[in-house]
Amino acid sequence: MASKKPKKNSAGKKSSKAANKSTGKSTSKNTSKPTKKLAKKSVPQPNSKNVGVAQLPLAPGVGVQPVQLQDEMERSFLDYAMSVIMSRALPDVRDGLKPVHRRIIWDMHQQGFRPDRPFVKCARVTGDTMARYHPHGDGAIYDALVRMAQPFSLRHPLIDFHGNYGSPDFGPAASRYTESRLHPLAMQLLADIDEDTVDLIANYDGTSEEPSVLPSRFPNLLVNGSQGIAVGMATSIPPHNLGEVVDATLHLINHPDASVADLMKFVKGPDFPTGGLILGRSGINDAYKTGRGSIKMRAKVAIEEGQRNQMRIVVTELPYQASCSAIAARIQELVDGGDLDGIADVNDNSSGGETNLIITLKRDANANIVMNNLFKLTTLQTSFPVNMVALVDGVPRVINLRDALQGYVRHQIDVITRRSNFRLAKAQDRGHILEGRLKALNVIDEVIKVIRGSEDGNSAKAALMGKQFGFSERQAIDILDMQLRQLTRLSRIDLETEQKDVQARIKELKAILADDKKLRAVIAQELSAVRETFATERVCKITADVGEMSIEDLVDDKELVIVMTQAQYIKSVSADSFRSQSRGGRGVSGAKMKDADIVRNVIFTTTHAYLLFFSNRGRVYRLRSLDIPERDRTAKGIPIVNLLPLKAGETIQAIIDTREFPGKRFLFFVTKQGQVKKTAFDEYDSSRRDGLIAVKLRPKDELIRVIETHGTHDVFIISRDGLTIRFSEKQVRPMGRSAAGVRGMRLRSGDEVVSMDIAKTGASLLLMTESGYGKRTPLNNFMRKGRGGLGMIGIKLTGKKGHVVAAFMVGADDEIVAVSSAGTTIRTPVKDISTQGRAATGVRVMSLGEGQVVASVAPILATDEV
Amino acid sequence: MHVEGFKTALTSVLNKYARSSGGLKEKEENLLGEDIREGLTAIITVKLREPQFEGQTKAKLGNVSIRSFVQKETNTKLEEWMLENPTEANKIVKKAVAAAQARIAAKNARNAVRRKTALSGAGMPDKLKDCQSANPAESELFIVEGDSAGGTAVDARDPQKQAILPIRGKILNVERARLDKMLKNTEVQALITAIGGGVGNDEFAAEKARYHKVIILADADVDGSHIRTLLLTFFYRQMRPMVESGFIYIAQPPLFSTEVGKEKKYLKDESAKEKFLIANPNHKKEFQRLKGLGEMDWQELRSTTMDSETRTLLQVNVEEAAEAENVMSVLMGDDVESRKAFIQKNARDVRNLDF
Repeated sequence: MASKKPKKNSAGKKSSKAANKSTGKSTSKNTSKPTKKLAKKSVPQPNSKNVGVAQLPLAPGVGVQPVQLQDEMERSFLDYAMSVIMSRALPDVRDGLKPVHRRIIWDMHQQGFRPDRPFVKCARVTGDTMARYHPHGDGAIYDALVRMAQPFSLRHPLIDFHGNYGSPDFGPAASRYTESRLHPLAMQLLADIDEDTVDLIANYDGTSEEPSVLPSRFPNLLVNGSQGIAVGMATSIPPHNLGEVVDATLHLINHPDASVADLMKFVKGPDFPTGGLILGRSGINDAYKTGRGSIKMRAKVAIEEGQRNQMRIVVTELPYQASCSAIAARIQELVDGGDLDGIADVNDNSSGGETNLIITLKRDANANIVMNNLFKLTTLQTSFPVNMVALVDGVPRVINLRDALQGYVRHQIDVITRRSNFRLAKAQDRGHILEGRLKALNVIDEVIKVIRGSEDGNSAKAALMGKQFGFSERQAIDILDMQLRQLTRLSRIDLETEQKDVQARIKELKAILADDKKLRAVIAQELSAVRETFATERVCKITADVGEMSIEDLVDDKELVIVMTQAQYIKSVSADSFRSQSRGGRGVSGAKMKDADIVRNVIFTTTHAYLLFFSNRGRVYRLRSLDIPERDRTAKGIPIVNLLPLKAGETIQAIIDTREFPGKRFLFFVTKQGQVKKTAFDEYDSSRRDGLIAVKLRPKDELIRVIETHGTHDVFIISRDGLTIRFSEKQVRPMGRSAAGVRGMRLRSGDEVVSMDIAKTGASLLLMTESGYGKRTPLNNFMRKGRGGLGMIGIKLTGKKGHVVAAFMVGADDEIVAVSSAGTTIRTPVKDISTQGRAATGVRVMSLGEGQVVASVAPILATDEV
Repeated sequence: MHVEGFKTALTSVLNKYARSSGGLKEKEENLLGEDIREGLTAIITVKLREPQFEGQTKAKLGNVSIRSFVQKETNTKLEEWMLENPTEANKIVKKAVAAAQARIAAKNARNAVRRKTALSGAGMPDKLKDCQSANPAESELFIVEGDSAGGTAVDARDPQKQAILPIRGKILNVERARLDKMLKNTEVQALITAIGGGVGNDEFAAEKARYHKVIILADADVDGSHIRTLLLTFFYRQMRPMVESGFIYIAQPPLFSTEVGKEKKYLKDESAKEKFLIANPNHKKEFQRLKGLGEMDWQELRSTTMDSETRTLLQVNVEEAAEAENVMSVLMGDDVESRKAFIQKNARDVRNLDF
């Protein structure tokens, strides 16, 4: 601490600074110290005329000093942050302990709660630790004590516990019930602590001493790991297998230049005490090389056949820090929320320290799919975030595997050096005394004579130390304390043997201290002994990473029907419900829809399939079937704009299933202005969700329809004015994805394309007009022409019959549904619409009120045809 | 009636949509009609036979059947529209959610401002031991860390002018917590209510504050330091006028104690300790570093820390708002990296390290 004078100076400096404080960071540093020392100067600051203080009410005279908010904040925060970092939340690289753990172990050692003694109540441990070393809440101390006893928290527990130490699901019993003592392994942490191996420092109130670190005869930091949150930093070190870590340490002792990769030959990865699997090595590599990484853990599960042939998933080992009851509760929640199918029941049958979670599956569930979902959605699979931060020389550092072991080895070198020095000094002292005794025995008669001639003890001592004998004071005192029995012959021989031993010991210790190799050999030998006694087989298996789970692993591939309406509402319906409802042979019925809406597209596909959506703006979007919400057969569905990034006025004109079918596949496009394009299917297979150009459109042109073809079909294009052209699609050569295409039909001004379809055997072309007239015309009435022509009359339109609204191929058993602008809908079998020639005008199919027109018409195909 | 139907439908459709689209989280409460209607202009026109009106002014349609009709139609059409126009729908939800948050904040602020009535302490937190004086200029509020020290402080106070509010544990870090979460915290509520000037830098009225001295009395250990930073953050972020008016103080409990003969003597800080050693060169007894306020008897706490005749207070003020702002956000905000950098840069300046 500084003396008194400079303080006053700095105080003065501060006050002047406060007045004309400019900017700059220097202030925080300069003002932080003096403020407190200002304390005795209770004179109000005359020059504190900054804005904030100017409006202050006059503070009542005595003892008020100003302090800057930011200074107080910085100082207080720094005190807190540094304390938490340095002596609360982070472990020391040397013994792997946080202060609270070290104090508990030390206190138990001091009180003699050793493995060979009876258990004592935990309350005694926590109470004494709190009173003597750790002035914090007893709850925190008890938690720390219990954790060191839990075999599911520590890979190698340090506390031997009697009573309920809890489980991942339940807390421990209260400290008044439970008992504990040090585990034999903890004695290895404390080994040789009485031989000046570590520094002892004063405890918080100066009434006793505690070690600043434990000697640690094994690398506890890696063996038991550590987790803690400090301020501005945190640590998370996984537990390891003692045998593996010791092997790596031995290697490092003998090969000080070993690399992380060398050490990883010994340490395969963390060894989580709860078992389970570690998936993949990349996270382990990252963690060991850089100190940071994420290690994927997975429970050990098996699919078994249970009672009555029901399949079930049995979990026998959990990931580290996962809880069986929490997982069961989570599964319950997922099932209730409808986010997880196929589970009939969950039972936690864990007992006797063995995990046993049984998940019974429904009969129709795919066990692998359910299991993958459980891995994805619950902590049956989770990851351990590695962030190896520890105090190295009292400073927090991110350390890699080598740093961790190096820090330990350096500590051991220090400990063994100190211990050897301590033992050497002791041996030398003993040697000195023995030397004195032996010398005295040689001249025992003179010695006795001198002692008998002395006035008192002191003069006898002085005489022995005199010229005649030349004993040191220590030797002289020892000789005076000697018992007469030492004069026997046997005693002399004992003394000589001991002297020999001591000399040999001194030589050995000197050799250890002089030779680094010998010192390292001592460490290696002691480490190996610990390994011999305490190491156990690895419990956590490391396996290959199966990689990110794809959607195929998580969702069963089942048949779906995708239904989209004219008003752009879409839904997917399970094919099962669809079929059972339509046994009569007729397709979609009974679906709730918006007024004046009809079903436009019905696609039979499967869950995993990709669907392409083509919009009138000539863009294509891709979605998976499973992204379309599955609804009841009767539900309305949702507007597709919620699924695709459509712009205002953009509508979906066609949906194409992309599953792989045999044969060459093309997509055939037609636009409002009569352009057509044929493009190989593959070109669209990579469509992104946010859309790609499907066909280049001229201004004001729109995509009308897209049809899947095999390259040999005849194409029909029908215009608003009733003109129809038929040509072979061979006349259109395949083009690239974004090409604009070629002319398919030449249109008179004011006319536009209404529809396109491809010829099917046995089908006829159905045409409908705005005013509700319609007819069927056999395909052979239309001659095949070259593409790009005007076409021929497809239906004769008189003024009142209006324009063509719809045209498509129908079979004899199909039905159609039509909807008027007023929202009325009719449904008619195709049979009831007469078959007429090309130039006929059709019959009334739908009666309309005043001013109404037919809004749209769609086929309902007999299901067996689809 | 038709207006009622419309309102009901509007509220239910919006809530339903907000839930399904994630605009409202599972745990959040439903939006109220007023949240949704804020700023809304709506014209509802119905044509019906034999309209009946309530009252002479015909201000309100009385046919009951029209209510359910309007409600049903609005339900279907509005829901349809929201589904078909997700962009606009989400904007509406967002606005309504913001309105709801504002409403809750305002409500809490109103609750907090309830003043002390003649019935002593009515509406005040249970834990507050108020003073007799109703004059803010002479009233002092001690915010005491922990209930165990709270009792001593109550004994040590001057009941005429000094009020005590014990705060349990560490209060919320308001720099990182959302407003509504902050207002739910009981310790924060107690603080707001006790001080009585409201909450929020814009709404807080320093002239309504019930005390012109709010004194932070925390233990002299590092957790006390932490609590001090949390409280200062709270005052700066939510009651800045208190800080700017110089109403916030920090008490200075003694750091050391030693024995002279049989007497226990408290020394305020290092310099007091040094002075004491110069005055008593033969003093051999150990100095104890005090950890908590609970270590002291009430007489000791009074004479060393609370008695206005003998104590020393630190008055918190802000000379440079920008710097204070910066420090607040670095130390208490979300950015871990800059906090880490601060700690690394200033690690050597640490005053006292705790064990």
